[in-house]
Amino acid sequence: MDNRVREIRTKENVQQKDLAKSVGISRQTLSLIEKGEYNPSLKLCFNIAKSLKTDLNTLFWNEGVE
Amino acid sequence: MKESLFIKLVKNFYGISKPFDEFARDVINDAGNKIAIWLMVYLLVSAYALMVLINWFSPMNVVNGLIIADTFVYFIASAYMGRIIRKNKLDRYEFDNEEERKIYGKKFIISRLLTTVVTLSLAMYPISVWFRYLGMTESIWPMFIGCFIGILVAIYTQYCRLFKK
Repeated sequence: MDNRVREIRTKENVQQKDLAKSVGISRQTLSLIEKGEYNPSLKLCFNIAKSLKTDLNTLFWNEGVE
Repeated sequence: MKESLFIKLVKNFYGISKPFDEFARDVINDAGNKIAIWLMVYLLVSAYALMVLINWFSPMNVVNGLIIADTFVYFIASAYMGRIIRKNKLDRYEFDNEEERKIYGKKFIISRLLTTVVTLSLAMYPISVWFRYLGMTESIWPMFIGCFIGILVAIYTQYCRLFKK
């Protein structure tokens, strides 16, 4: 699953550790999500989107799925 | 996020330092399921082996063999879980400055020492009863002191790996 978490986080000027803390995950997990190496649950996706003041469609999408 | 007592126990037992988030849970669940399946196979095989061996050898020797085999299986399972935790870096502490490094270092030492003392205290009685059966009463204390020193060395090595620059 591709995502724009890093891009939007940087644009919003939010540090990785602050975002990780606000959604209750470790920095390592957030880093894995940003690199696309870990697929988060829907609940976590919602929480990240909420913390970054954006919506799910902007943040996550699946390449090749129409 | 508030963690339940069970999660705190699991984290302390496996030496997980990070929040027990869904990634950590997935890793532990996956490894735990694999261990559980192998343990079930081992229990089944050892139960059959016990029934067969008890006809050929003295029951005490069979029980002693089983205790040793169980201990080996426990160490193998622990080593596997430890490898998975290290591979996924769940034992790493996330600190930003010197102060945090010191605080986490102290927490690490205290929690590891507590776990060691509790584990050894719990293991002491059954092992001493077993050693008494084997007629090795005088070997109990040297073994425990040896184990304790070995664990202290392991804790220090882990501390150096995680906290020394």
